[in-house]
Amino acid sequence: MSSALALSDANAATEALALAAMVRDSVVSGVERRALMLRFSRLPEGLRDPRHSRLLAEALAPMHRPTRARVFELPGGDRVVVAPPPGQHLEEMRADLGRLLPETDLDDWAPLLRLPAEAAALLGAVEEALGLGLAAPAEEAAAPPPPASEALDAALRALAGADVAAVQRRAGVWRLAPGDDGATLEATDIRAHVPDLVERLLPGSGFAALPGLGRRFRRAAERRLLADLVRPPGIRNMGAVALPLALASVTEAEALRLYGAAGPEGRRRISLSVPLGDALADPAGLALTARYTAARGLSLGFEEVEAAELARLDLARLVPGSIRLRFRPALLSAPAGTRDALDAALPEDRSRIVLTGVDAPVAIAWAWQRGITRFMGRVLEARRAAG
Amino acid sequence: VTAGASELRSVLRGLPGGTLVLAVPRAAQPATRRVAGALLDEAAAFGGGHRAGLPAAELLVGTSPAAAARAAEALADIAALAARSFIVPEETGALEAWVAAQPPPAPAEAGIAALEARCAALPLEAAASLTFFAEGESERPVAQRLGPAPFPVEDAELAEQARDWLCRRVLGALTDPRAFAKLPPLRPGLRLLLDLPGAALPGGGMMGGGGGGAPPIALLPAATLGAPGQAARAAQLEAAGWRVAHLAADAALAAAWRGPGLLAAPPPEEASPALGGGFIALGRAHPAWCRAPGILRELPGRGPGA
Repeated sequence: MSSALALSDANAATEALALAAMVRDSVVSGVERRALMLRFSRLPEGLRDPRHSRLLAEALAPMHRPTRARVFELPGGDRVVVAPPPGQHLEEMRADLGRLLPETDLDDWAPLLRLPAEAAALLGAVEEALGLGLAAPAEEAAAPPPPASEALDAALRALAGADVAAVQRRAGVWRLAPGDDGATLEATDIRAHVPDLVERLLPGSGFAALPGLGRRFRRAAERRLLADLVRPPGIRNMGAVALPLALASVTEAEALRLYGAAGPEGRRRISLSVPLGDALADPAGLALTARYTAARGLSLGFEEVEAAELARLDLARLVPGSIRLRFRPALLSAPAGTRDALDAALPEDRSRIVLTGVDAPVAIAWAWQRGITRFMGRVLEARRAAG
Repeated sequence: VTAGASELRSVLRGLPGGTLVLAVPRAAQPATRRVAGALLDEAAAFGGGHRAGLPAAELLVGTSPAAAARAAEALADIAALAARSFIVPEETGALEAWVAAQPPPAPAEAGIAALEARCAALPLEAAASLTFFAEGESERPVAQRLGPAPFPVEDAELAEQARDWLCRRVLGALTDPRAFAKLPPLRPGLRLLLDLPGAALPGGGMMGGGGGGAPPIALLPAATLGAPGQAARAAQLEAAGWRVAHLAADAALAAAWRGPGLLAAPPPEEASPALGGGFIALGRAHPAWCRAPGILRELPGRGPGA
């Protein structure tokens, strides 16, 4: 719900970004501030009726008085009021709220935070308000055991004749720059959803312990997907298409047929992306694939790169095309050193970056701050659904 | 009778005089073979003719000289394959000699279960390799790398998996006194570089390499760099007294490396700031910068892997 709610507030991303930047400034410079968080979304339903709203509005009136305080409106109606210390009027306002709603726990829905000491708590609360599911990911679930080699051989044989249409997934690659009226669809991303196939053909198994064989399984699935795309209507009349593929799939017979069927004009509309792990496991294969795709006028990039990988390897040197960077909420609260390293590692031509996993507007704000304007994720898909 | 001679005869039978045949050696990698095939198909579509496969080569028969020249150029640029043109029947003898000179192809992998069985059946002596490393100008070994022996598998995915299986066998032998005796003899006093499989070992923890001196180095495949759980694994190894290095198969990756962390790879021609401070140079050809202090350089001609 959070992303849809956030979308209704056109400024949410910008406000959240401004708040996050202010908090970080306070951390870097050590300048003290007081922040009163007003998380109305945490109040019980009964207290959010019009009568209570009016009372709350009165109690909060001092907020809008010309003070040195600044008010940030967050998605879902939450607000954060930030003022220099001592922040007397924040405490008074908070006391008024306590008298007004004695049955509620102020520390829960209206905490008064000290910056920079409690910066992490504030950023965390902001992200949560934005629906980023801030809670640190729980201990990774134990990976499912790898399939036995015989079972895998059988699954690969079954896959060679399987219909993968049911596990085909489509999503948009969107362009959205600050000041745009709305997002523009740049390409349709088509992929075979491999986890579903693993579940169907090798139930209870996983490839975490067999990375090379995981790539082989994925390639077998993608051969079927590519064969589907060669057959009409396939990708004809589809406009630009983004195909995330295992590295070896890019030179599979079915893929080569697809490029041939697309013709020179169609090839210019196909952008391919391969996992960085595949490229690292088979650098000679990457070099061959890069030479072949360049000669055929196809764009070759990387799919789903983590920020830490981007900082460690000069990826723009390895492929000429787009680099898909996975957005993680942790990027918002990363320490300055990590952030600077990532910013320095971004390719100078920011149009080569596509930010993926954009499930909350704050990710867009984070990207805009870095000149990134191409996105994939739920926020943009919701926008499409909303028309 | 060499492999392919009879196939070649049947391809050439009844061809009119002055027919052009473009002969392409069989590439080692399946991906390269597929790309080469696509380039030949394209040439046939452009200049006529048809493709004919031999066990150790691929022929494009009866295409136009312009198409053959274009295909040969593309094959060299993209697939690094040296194609040759012959006019038959005039140059049939030369073509036959060329075909006979092609190395026979490796038998195709029968499947994953078969590969696993092959890895398991390999004698431990042949599964492990020990190589030595020097530092600076000296040729005296200061470090030794114990890892899986090179195992010829054409397919990159299967090669990756075979390395993992052999890695596990070598690691298992380290803690089994009887098997240990079959490993190549480690030299006391040399720093240890140890290959680890790409996926974490069940049961997790690695014990420290003990004592003073330079810490032992765990070599992890570069493909694990961004894999889930790997950052925690590297931290665990470091907490247990290991240094972690990522193992890359290609100088292009070393050139793209920005750090932090240690990399083991064939060295690129030019040093970079990320490599200058610490690097493990693999292979035989080492540019001069690999003789700087802090860089381990593989020594030629030692150990069974050499």
